[in-house]
Amino acid sequence: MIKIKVCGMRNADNISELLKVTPDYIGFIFYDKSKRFVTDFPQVDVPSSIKKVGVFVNETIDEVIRKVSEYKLEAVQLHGDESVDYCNELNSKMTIEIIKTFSVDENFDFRITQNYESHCNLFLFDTKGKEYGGNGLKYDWSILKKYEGETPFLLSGGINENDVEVIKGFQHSKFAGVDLNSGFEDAPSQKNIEKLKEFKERLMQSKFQVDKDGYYGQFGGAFIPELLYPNVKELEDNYIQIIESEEFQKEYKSLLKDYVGRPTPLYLAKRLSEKYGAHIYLKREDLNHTGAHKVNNTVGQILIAQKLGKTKIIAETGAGQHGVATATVCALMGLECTVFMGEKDIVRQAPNVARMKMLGAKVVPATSGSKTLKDATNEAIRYWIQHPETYYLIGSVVGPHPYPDMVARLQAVISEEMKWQLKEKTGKENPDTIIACVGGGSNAAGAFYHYMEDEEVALIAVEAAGLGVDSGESAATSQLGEVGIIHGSKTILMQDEYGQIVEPYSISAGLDYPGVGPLHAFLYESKRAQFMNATDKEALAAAYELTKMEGIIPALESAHALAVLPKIDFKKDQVVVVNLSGRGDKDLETYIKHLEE
Amino acid sequence: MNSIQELFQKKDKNLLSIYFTCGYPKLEDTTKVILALEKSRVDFIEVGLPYSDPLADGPTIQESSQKALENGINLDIVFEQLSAIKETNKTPLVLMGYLNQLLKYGEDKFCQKVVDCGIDTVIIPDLPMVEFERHYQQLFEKHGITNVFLITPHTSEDRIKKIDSYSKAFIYVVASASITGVKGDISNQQVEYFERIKAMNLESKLIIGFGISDKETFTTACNYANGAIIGSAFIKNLGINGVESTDDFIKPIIS
Ligand SMILES: Cc1ncc(COP(=O)(O)O)c(C=O)c1O
Repeated sequence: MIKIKVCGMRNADNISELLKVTPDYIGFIFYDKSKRFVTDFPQVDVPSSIKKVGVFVNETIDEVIRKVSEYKLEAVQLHGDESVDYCNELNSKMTIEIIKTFSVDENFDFRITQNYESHCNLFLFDTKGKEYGGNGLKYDWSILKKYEGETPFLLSGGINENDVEVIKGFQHSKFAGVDLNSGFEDAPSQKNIEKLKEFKERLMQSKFQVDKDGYYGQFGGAFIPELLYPNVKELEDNYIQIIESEEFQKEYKSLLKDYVGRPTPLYLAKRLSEKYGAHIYLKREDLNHTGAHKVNNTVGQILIAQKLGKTKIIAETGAGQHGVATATVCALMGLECTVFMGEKDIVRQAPNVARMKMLGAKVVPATSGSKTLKDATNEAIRYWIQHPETYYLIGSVVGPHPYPDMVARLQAVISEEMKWQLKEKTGKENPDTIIACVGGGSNAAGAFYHYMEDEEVALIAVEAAGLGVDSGESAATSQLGEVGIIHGSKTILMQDEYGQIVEPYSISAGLDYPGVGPLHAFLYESKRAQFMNATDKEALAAAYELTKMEGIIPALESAHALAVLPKIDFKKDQVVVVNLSGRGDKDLETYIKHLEE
Repeated sequence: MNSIQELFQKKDKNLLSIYFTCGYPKLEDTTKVILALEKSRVDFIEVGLPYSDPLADGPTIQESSQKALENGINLDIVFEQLSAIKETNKTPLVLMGYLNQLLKYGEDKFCQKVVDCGIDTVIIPDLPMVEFERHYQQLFEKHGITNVFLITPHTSEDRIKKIDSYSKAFIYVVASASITGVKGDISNQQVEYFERIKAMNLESKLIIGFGISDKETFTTACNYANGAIIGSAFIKNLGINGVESTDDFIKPIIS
């Protein structure tokens, strides 16, 4: 977490406002040549979580000690030419956090800092200027590469709201935070609180989390016809508040536990592990009620729909798992349910069609285009346009913002559980590798969610290659796609040179989609996740292998994730989690057909 | 001045606009349809760029788009066809397509081609206002292109006012919460909505579309707006009776 120090404060009201931004340090300048010199120390109750820092320039040690005790300062910043001995003496006289400033430019010799290391808690690298600090100028931060010390440091000098992206991209193992001052002032010492607040929000925001405009990097957004604007806006305005409310969390958690059957086990697949020379754990989403991870999302969204006062639910489905999961929660809540499903999928996933009907849902065939998931989604959106009173319960991390983020949050329970389960079983929260299949990307988003920041955890997303990536019959979006817009989201999309969407192909109805969610497009582009793929054949072989070796019949989708195991060179003792997104009951007909081959 | 704005200076009541799909029913019909519509004195024409996944369109336009794509239509051919009749056709054209087409073709290249065809107005139903403000406003301005926004029964008054300020050609008043091609009479509820919009006294001219199919619905719509657009009904006729029947379709509507 990047620390924030706001320096040069003086006015009590301004400080009170600043407390709401919760910086890590508030700096008070006790240097009489500064424009921000504090004469009357402001009377504000600063909570102990925020440290008060006194900034001194070549002050006598006695005076520093006097100020520290008088104003109850938690840290001192030595901003002048204080020597190593000075720091040493101060340390010997009182226990206090010491921040030593160095003014740097391209000629700065970082070896100077070495002797200070044992006496200081933090360094602050400021711009070398005429004055002692407060020059409001920036230096080239890349020169800090030369700093090889152990003491963490703050960046300082002229930082303003335009620097967020550079700071987020700044790489140094000892980089601890930023020192903010003149770049956020309306007048000397008077800070613009709104600017600081926004700066902090943007700075703290993970690059793997959707930004305030609904984007992950260049991907995402809400490219929807005006007709859908009110619906999407209503959801956008409310979803976070609902999800974060205590009431929702209580209902959601309790349904996941008692209705869905969570937590799902994390199972060490012994024989599979032996074969591939790694510790292979299966996250058993197949054991959820209704047989796949999809229900995590539908349980959450149905609660959201209810809180928004909606009584009619629509959904799209590919493999039928999301359709079943939606029909299930609609039955549970007594809501009307209509599911759109491609004509081709209705045939290849017949058992799920029967389940949806038994659950009381109306199944509407999508007869346009490739008659698969993409077209089912088109039809659902068209219906939604014509029936704005309905709630569209999207089944993956696709669609216009806020759907990708909302669905990812609701699937995040998968990795939340993985963390403590792994800790119990291996002593460590982090595995080395997580593998998940990607159709739209929801099970992968859930399995990756709490690990995205931890770069040491390798994330592997597996797409369906159909008859082969280059066969013309494939759904390996990241390999075949380019930036485009599908179902209201800017993402990676399989399309021709004129932007016409290409019809994908996979044996697995749940992976037969020409796009991926915008989060995955970002994980791909930023190389945070590695994208692999598996053909129909490889997936079938993997399904048989798991069935024979572990007694688990996986969904065809999940079999794609398993199918990359033979393609990876595992190190011994490597901990691998494969997200087993669903069970294979729905695919038996396909399996039996290939059994006979 | 924008070509549609210019048109309004000459005529601002009962304007008839026709939407058709390029390359339908046959690949080379694009220009034939335009010239036939011009001959039948349609006021302006919406040129639909066939798209594989037209989210805002009903079955009729979807099917015509599908057929046109099967006929081999693509953006390069459309631009060729349109520039071939640039000198002969005097009826203003408005281009209607989906954002991904523009994105993939190259935004600047797309705009340049549009302008080269003598067109200065576009309708992109899946281009939302925020994205317009963020990027496309500047792009279009650079090329002298005007974007037409849609409003619906659920668009808030504030939003309509903003759209009004962005509109240089006209505001497309979507007749009901629907996709294209939904037919029927105009309901009291719709009339209420039309009256509400009319009473806002917007700067922009208003054209009503979606679900306008015949003389009756056209006439009703024109009571509340400067004109109306017929799409699916025309395409249906085109599919059954061919380009030659254009005048027979148009005449009863404007007589
Ligand atoms: C069992 C199973 N796994 C995976 C998927 C793919 O969807 P997603 O990528 O959103 O997890 C589906 C979709 O239907 C599914 O049923």
